[in-house]
Amino acid sequence: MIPCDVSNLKKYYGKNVGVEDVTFNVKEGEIVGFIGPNGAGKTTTIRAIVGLLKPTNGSVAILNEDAFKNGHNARRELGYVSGEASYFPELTVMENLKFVADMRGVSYDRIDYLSTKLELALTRKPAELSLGNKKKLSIIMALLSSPKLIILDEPTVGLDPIVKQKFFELIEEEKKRGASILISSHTLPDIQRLCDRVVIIKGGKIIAIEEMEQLKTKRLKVVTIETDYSKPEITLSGVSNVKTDGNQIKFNYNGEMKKLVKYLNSIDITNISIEDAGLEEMFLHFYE
Amino acid sequence: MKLNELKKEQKQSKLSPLYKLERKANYKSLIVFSVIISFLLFLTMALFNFVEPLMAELVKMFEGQPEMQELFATQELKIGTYFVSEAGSFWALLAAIYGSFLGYKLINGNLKNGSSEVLYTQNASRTQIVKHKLIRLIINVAILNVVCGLVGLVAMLIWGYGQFSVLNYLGYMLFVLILTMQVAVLSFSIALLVKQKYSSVLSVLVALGLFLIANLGLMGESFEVFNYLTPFAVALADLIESGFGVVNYISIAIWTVIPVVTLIFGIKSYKNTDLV
Repeated sequence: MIPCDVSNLKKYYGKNVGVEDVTFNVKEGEIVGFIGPNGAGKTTTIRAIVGLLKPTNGSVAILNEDAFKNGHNARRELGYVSGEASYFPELTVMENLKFVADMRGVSYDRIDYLSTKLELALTRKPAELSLGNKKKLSIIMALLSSPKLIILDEPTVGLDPIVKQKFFELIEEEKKRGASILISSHTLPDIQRLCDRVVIIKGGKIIAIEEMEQLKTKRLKVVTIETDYSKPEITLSGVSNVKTDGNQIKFNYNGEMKKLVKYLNSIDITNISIEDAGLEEMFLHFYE
Repeated sequence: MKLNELKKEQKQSKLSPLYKLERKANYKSLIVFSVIISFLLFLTMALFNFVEPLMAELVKMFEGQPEMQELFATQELKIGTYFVSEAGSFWALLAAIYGSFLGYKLINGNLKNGSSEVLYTQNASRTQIVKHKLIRLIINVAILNVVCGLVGLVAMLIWGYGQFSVLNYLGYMLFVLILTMQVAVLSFSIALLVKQKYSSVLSVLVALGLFLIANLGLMGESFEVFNYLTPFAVALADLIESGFGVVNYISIAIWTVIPVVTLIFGIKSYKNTDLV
């Protein structure tokens, strides 16, 4: 079973394109990162997955059910953290959590475990909480029922480093349990740390789906050179994202290593460093 | 609350979480409206003892002058007529405003405050969620009207014991309940149909507009058609003094069908739309 299967998803808002021909999936026990700049269509895709948006075309299936038509049958096994922390403002934190627990038919023990782990006060109204604590509430609501599929839209926004660490531990626990997780974030080191695969979206279209391991072995390199006198113009093909800082020039290179060495040999350099590109560089490379 | 107590509470609770959610989210406005309307009803009826002798004096003054009697609408003031014209009409109006606003809030409230992302991603279909909201609407409108109706009855008994038919009063109370329910369900259905294009102000205007139309219907025989264009006509009919014969049952039937049909279309539309 594919817990989350998005196929040729199109969503138009009137004449405006939200997303077009989006196809990807999240396999069992897999953590998939979903990255793209603001307005790329991440939240639209996620909202279609959780059944809030009706696809204009294409299909979205969660746990073998059509997400829009019959999604409620599958949502017993779905945990969702929305981009903006969502909750019932009229209820206290505890009442919000009890509502979700009752809906899913899970014991209140889990509220105790998760709220203790993330240090969330239960007696206040959510409106009285900081952004970080509101986010904690959303995370606990999503993880309460130990769901098979977890969809996280910018889950770490507002979390301090200690809570973020605890959040990662929880996500790793969920993965060990066998949950499938889709996580959208602008914090690329988080994605790099957590994910098995990454889906990159731009202008409403998927432009790349990469295994994280493959990404690491891809030929995209970050090259940093230092020069004493001149600042040569880097003309080699395959070079992108050139940045100059004092006598230091940094650029990404995607091409044959032999050509790079030959080119570097032709210019006057005093120091050199060649590293594998991280997700951040890959991301910028895709968006150029 | 300790974990053991929570577990006990969870075991004991047999109500649907959706039912409990809507109850918790909407009880405060019910209390506020019930208290305000009941207080105004009681206060208005308390004034009956001052108004009645004044009216009797006017009747005496204009005896044999039919033009003046018509101009000042003087007639012997009966408590039932006084209740309908002074207390019952604003009871119906305020209760309908409450129902109309609640109908709007139940649907658009979650979309406005962002909680729709929690509510509609739970393991309940949109139809189930709307059903629980409708039940909450019906219960709250019923509680409001029963409370106000009973306060009105107590006030009537205090200041007019033996001067009116309790059965007619209960009939009037029932028809006010029906008309406010009709307005509330209509507003709820409009919210389902047009979602965020419907605002709190519009919901109040729906109730107010229908009330004003009913007042046009009072302007004479040539304006009688207005009685069919609003469910409020029944609230302005002198049922307590004149009996059930003055009730416009056709209007009630029309205004039962309109909200129900709108509701059916509303639910159909709501099931097939984006909810953010």
